[in-house]
Amino acid sequence: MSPSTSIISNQPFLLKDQYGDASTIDLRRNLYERFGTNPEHLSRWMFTEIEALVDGNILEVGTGPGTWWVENVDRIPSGVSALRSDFSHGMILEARERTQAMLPNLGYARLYAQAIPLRSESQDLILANHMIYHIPDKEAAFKEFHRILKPGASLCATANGRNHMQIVGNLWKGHLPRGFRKTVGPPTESGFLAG
Amino acid sequence: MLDEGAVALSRMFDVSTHRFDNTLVITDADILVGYILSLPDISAELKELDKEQCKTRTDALRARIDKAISVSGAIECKLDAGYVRARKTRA
Repeated sequence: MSPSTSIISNQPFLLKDQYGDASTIDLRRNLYERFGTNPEHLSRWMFTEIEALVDGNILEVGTGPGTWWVENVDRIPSGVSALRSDFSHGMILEARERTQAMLPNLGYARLYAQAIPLRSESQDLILANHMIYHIPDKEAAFKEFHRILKPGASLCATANGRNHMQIVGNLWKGHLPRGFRKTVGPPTESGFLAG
Repeated sequence: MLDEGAVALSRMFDVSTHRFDNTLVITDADILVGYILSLPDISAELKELDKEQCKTRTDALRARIDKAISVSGAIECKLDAGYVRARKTRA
């Protein structure tokens, strides 16, 4: 798995165009919230799935505006020690603003997933929600995740699959959705290994 | 993407993949247009165009979405999302 040079993992582009602040994420989230037919949000569903793992030292990489924590604020165990991180300083400020009052004991850090300044075997859980495809060198990041996790601990990472919102690709490429027969690959929102 | 990510992680971790079921039923063209134009690869593509080309592409997209919604009442869009759990079982 060689380091990616795709626009999807181009850090200067992402910082300038996508994640300097939360406006792009909020815009996308608005689509899901307005028109999703599942009344449960992905973050709530995921929490239910991994509830037994949400304890001890937690590192979140790519916290964005802190959505996962806002969605699950009523379920975060009191003993959790969480460090929420992002490569965007602007995003950390957003996360702090949105969650500080509700979860005052959580920490924040600007860091890159390829070089995490935490001790080996120190983390009980790593969260990486819709962000791994932005990492230029995924192999290096996976090694870091493995290094800092305690034995038996887990990384939980949300992402989109290859069939995610295929109609968007069709519409952009110029196909009207007549029966949605002609399919092209979807543009990359938050796949896992795109690029 | 989700499945490819699981494969890559399986070289170091014990991995399981879990999917979340959801479908969008979109009735507002503006929100969908905004969403599409915000996507990184499309945003980058638009930045390569001059102002007029950009407007042409955007207007055409909006027209297709307006037409699809007017014909069907909504654009139905299946999501494919979930999470990978990668458990460290090896040193």
